[in-house]
Amino acid sequence: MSKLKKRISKMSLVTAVSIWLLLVWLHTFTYLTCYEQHEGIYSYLSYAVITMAATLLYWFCFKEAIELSSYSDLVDDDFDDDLENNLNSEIADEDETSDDGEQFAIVEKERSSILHNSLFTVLVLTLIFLIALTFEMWTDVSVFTDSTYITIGRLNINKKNIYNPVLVLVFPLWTQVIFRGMYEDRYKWKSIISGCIQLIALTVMSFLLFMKLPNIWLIELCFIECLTVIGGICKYTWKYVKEKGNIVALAGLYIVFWCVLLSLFHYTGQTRVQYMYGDEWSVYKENVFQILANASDFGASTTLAMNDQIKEFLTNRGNYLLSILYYNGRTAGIVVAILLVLFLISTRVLLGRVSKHNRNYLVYHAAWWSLAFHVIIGVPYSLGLIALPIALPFAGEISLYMDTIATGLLVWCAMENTSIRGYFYELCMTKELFDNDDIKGIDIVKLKADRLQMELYEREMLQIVGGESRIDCVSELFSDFNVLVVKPVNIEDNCLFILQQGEDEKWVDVKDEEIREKVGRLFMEEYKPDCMEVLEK
Amino acid sequence: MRKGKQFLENNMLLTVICIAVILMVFIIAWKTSLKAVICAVDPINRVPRQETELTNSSETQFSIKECSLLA
Repeated sequence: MSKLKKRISKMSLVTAVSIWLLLVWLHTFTYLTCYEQHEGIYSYLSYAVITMAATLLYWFCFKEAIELSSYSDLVDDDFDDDLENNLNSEIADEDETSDDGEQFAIVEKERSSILHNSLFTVLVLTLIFLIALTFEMWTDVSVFTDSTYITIGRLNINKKNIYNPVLVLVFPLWTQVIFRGMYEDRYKWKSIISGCIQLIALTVMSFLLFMKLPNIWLIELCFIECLTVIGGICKYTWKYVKEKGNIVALAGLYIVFWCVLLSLFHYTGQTRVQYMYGDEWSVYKENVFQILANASDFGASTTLAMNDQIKEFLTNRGNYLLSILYYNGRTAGIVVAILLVLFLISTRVLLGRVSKHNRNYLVYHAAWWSLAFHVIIGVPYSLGLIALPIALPFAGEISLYMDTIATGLLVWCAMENTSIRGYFYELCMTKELFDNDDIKGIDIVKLKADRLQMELYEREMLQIVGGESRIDCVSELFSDFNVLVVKPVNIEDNCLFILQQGEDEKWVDVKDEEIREKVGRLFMEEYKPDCMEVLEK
Repeated sequence: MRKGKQFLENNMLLTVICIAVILMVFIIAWKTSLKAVICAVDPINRVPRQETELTNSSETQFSIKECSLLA
């Protein structure tokens, strides 16, 4: 089963990367054939590859930094210490118990400080945003009122360039801190109120920043931010709070709040289509239907080639689905649509169920939904079915970079998933390893430690001998329970053996299920990967 | 997986050469496929380019001679 999962994961990684390259190829093709001005034949490919490499590199460095500086790491370590203290509590004297009490108070204080610091930062930022908005008309600084640029002195930043990083990185990372803080504070009323205020303030800030962009950008912002909050609820809240109705009510209120924000830009008499697309939806629809109706099954259609209106419509338009329909016919169009669906499925497999245990789950979750939004809405829009002008993945000038960043994050997520999957050990019996029921006990031979493997495992290298078979293992002694935990190396399955020494000095499996589970859990907690987050009920 | 890694580590030069060859093949395939498809169709933006830029032989401008060779 685990082999199959690994194979599927590898296949989806290869599929996603291959389709990403194919879509960049389509982007290049569209720009070379439809745009009056374009760059070289390799430019878009090199931009995409550089963006992907930079995403992997920066995320690696940034992730390390946030993991090191994270308060929760400190708290997690203290949790581990608490766990160890609990195990040793039977032999602890009264003085040590009072030390534990003081330590527990410090941990409690640190837990609360995550939310307090976050609340303070969010409120200060919101205040700065509101003051800047009020005084913008009297200064040469324009952050909110310009539809394209944030201008501070000589510095000009295109809002569209920071849109995706805010959507896929800043908002999910901050939301994650808020939910983690509430979880670690055990959902006290104070922390819930603090968390809600912070989420509302973050939403208002992102809304103010991008409110002058066309409405469709705000709709996408609303969609992804709502899904990020729902993702946070599913991971950090749903299983750990009994009052599920209250969670649903708060999530509903958040969505209503977004609807109110979106309605601010709706004026009387404006239709839904005008709000989302603008005034020329019928023109767009007519042109798309002409392309669909007149495209040939294979190759370019002469009817379309003679039509100047369609040529003008496609000029400087980065929609590769329409350009493929125009140049290569309906069959090629269907192939592109299938490729997009395959891309969606393979990236979903990259995200995987196991990513819920990832420390940065919300970032990967938002990255996937941002890509999914571009496919799920982008394809029907391209075919003139819905008036939501969302570009297909990697189609637009900016979306080539932004969607590549999202794909890069998902590639990283897939790599981390591999190490998280390796963490889920299965407690096995030695007879399963040797396929022999007659073995009464096994011998253990110490090996001279291999340098590389010792660096990897930092444990004792052993060889277990059962009958004529010998298997290399790493081991760890749990002296509290008087048992040895043994993990075979060079074996695909994540088997873990819990052994104790019998009377004849042979090693046998521990039969007591309680001890097996306790020791297994301790072993796993000790060796969980850095990217993993274990939430306890 | 571990055996594969060990093989790659032991045969570093071979690995580098293989990667270089794969990259070269990929780059050639990229250019050839784009040229072949573009030359097989009649690009919307060809008309203004023929009028203004055919004499300018930059990398991205495909001359009629190039296209007829590929077609």
